[in-house]
Amino acid sequence: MTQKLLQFVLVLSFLLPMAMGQAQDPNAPKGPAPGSIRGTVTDAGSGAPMPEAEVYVNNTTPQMSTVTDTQGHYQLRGLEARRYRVTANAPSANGRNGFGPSQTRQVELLPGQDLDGFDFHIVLPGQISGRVVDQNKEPVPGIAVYLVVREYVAGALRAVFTNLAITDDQGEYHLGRVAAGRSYMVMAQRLTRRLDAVSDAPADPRLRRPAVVPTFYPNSRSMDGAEMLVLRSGEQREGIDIRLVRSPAYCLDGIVEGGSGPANLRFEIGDTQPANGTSGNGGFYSSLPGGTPGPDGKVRICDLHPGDYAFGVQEFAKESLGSAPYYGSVPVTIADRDLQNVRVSARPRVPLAGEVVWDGPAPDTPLDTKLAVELQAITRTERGNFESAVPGQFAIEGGLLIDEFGLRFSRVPAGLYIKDVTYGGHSILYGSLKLGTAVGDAALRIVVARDGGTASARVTDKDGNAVPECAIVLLPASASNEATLAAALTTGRTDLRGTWTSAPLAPGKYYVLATNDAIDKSQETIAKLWRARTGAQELEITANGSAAVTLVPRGLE
Amino acid sequence: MRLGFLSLSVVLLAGLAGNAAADTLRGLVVEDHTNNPLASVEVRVYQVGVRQLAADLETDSTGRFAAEGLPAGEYRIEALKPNYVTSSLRMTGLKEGMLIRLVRCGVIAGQVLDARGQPIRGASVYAIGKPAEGTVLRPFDILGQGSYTRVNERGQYRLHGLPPGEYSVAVSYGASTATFGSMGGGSAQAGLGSGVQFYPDNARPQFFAVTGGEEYRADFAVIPSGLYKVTGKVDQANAKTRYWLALTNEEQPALATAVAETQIDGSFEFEGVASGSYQLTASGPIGGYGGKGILRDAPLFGRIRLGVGGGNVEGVSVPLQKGRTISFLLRAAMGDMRPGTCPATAHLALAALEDWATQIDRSGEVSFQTEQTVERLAPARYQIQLSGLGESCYQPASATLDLSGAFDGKPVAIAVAPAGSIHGRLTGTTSPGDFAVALVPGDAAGGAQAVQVAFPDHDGRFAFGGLRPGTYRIAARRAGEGSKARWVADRSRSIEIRIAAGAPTELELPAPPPDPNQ
Repeated sequence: MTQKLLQFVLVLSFLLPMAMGQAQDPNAPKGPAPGSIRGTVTDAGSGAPMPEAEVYVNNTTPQMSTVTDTQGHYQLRGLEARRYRVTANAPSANGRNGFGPSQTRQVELLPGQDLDGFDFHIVLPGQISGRVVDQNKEPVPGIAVYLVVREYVAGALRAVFTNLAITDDQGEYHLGRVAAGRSYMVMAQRLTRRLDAVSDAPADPRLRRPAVVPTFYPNSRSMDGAEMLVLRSGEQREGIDIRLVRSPAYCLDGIVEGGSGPANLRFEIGDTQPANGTSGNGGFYSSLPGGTPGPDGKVRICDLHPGDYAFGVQEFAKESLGSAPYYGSVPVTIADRDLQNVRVSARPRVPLAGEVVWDGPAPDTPLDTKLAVELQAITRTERGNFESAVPGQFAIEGGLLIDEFGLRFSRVPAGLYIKDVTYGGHSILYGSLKLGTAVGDAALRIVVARDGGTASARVTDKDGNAVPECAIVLLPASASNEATLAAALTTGRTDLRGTWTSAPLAPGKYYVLATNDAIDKSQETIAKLWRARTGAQELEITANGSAAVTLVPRGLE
Repeated sequence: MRLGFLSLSVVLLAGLAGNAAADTLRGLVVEDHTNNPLASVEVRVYQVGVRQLAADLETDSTGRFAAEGLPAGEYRIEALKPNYVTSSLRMTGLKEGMLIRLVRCGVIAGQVLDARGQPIRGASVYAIGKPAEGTVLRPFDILGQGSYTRVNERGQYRLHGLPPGEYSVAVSYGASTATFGSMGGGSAQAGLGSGVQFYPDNARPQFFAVTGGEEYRADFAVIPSGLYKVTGKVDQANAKTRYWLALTNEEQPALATAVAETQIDGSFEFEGVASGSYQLTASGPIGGYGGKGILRDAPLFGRIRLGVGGGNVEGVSVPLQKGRTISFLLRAAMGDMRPGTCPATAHLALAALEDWATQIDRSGEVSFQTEQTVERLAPARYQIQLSGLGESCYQPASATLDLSGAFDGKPVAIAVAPAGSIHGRLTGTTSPGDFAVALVPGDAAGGAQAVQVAFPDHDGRFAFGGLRPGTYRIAARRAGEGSKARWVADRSRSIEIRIAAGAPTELELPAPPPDPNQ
């Protein structure tokens, strides 16, 4: 049971450190008089004061924290003069401290300064609720209602689940954790967790109960007909009622094989889109409908609506939850009839090796910092990572399961930039790694260059005052479409003096802008950035050069 | 426990009208307590002996279903709808004008507020079925849809999908098992602490009876008094391993009052604990969480008694011990048993009667011949449950295994006994196929009123098997009356019979005369 629950909803989020200790640091070194910071924490939506919010400074030992009073006021005392990152963290919906919505600000505290008015305006997540009914207008209990975002991930626009609610006996659902200002779709689907190896659905499709088509609010079978929902901070949006679309139900007869035999395999089937995966600053993974195949590996999966599916099979390691030694998946399309003889094989991990090479001549002295790379499967929790000397060869220990991965460079040695990444001779710098698709040379090749230039920006308001904590976006002019733009853009945030300097970037022409709007990789934000190139300041970054620009923040339209 | 309960719960039905063409199935599904037609009910039609469904139908907006072109034969029909108890029935030849009744599950809803009338964030609410005599309340071990929920931002909750039976309601808040089990940690809430509250109070929980479609309201006002700290250390804790501790109230151990995790040095702290008499349990190392903490291999356990009252409790020391290994054996409850009455082996489930916040339930196989061992048992109180006993065998007494104190280490014998059965014949009618026979347990001390329905063959013969010995009520009902009276409620028109263990109870049941009001 436990394992099922764990597999069912595994929500990964970037957790903030728990605040510990008290506001006073008894071990603070003696010196200049300590200073203090005080202010108010409010809800960014309503402006209401927020009691019981935790306020803490991130970089002190022991960590200093306090809790706001009923008026939302807080005060942190005994702080020595230096730069701090201060976080205000609202209580989470389920009552656990340290897990609620938060805001972090920077401050430079002078010796003995009692800083007042250091306020926080926390953007609260909203909630969407409604009712799911069927063609008879009957409320449908036990339906899975998903919150879905469309976001660019590894060079493609993908629809990704971000939360799940289940309808109650009245067909009602409540979806929490709806980020304010983001565009969401709401989709309802029959919730199936466990499938028999061989479905007992009737042989004659006319004698089968109709399937439920994943239905987007209000009643669309496709994402294109979905109504996008954008909530304000803390908004409770009600009446998002969905009428389920039904369709004829079809079956898939297949064979699952590989791994250490059918008894240890789990087959699964899921719609290609929307799917599990990462979005924003977190990820959402719920287990797909599946089960254990028969002793001969045969499966019969029914209740399928017409559409595109991934038919997968995996074997779980007995000793560790969630890690699979074998996996395989095939795309399947259901049109207007049953499918026969679909085969999918669980294949072992395959080695992934490659090299990091210089673009142009190598430097005289070897680098002492390594390049660190993370690979994350697009729709699954499978991941891998490696470090490589520059130049040097690398291999992922234990290999990777055959799947599609996104690449992230978690550490790039100072002074370098990634000029290209190729797999099987094709560039995947702005795309994904489809493991096992390389013909011939299956090595991953990472090209690093030393000729990068830097961009520096100074952001002021119209009166010339520095604007701290403002987002800067650099858009390469070479990006020929929105997907590439999403993969290639560079972002930064100004410091307390309103300035920011980039890491080395590939020489070339860029558009640069400053904005106080949220920057993410959603379809809407990227479309706004695509349009914002017109009228944005241009910046030519030359090889080993540095280009500077002064910007005034603007809104994205 | 939950699964067994469901499979036993009310199977209701039904009238059969007319003898129409064998290849057409037509019928109507109604809600048992209102007689309203039910739309969107799944009707699964099985030909007996064939695994694949002959038809998988759905009722329309008027509650009707139909299938044509089905082969003649013996059929089993199941009617399912979420939030209703599944009905199943058997019949020879397909009928038209069939009526199926579905019993709607119960609902308990309400609000959980603090003394200021503010909602209590993250509070969890449980519906807990009335246990057999002599055992304590325990939450469902499988969290069924609706039997467990969290309050919304207004402090409201709604427990649904409760099959017929009797239920108490409890709320847990603060550093609860639900919070630890879903997030890996938790904290007491300012001014409120952590705790468990049954409705209306822990000493005498109220039971809400569900026979079909009831909606109850239970509002909680959580007003804690005198909140204290409990601090201490778990002995033998290795650095880097974490243990989970649970404080359970001795009065109601089904839900932990508060949960804490050890620090690297083995120390722990509970905040906001009310006065009371507690068991403090420890288990670990923790390898993950999913509903409850998941123990790694070779877990250690600790258990001490702890009183909290009038002040903080400091310096508590919890010694740890390895899990116990216990042997189990099946034995016949009443001397010799005919061979084949009970299977040679059965499945054994040991379900903890206390909430340790971690997974301490265990299972295994048990047999008559050789002792089978179950390892890694916590020093807890367990309920012993057997399954896979077949139709002719049952577990007469709900057995408890108490490992909380000294235990002699002897093998535990679990009693099983032959089940009863009825071989009956419907008399006084020339068309027994127009009748259905319902059997209701007459001595059910709480729990579901399990109803079984049989359809006599053309000679009027019918049978019930796998019956727990005791008193039952049995009634024959003309098909056309199916919509007029509920099986469960109608005591006046049934007769009482006593079912003995072992040999079948022979019975001749007179067919009722036509209803003069019809």
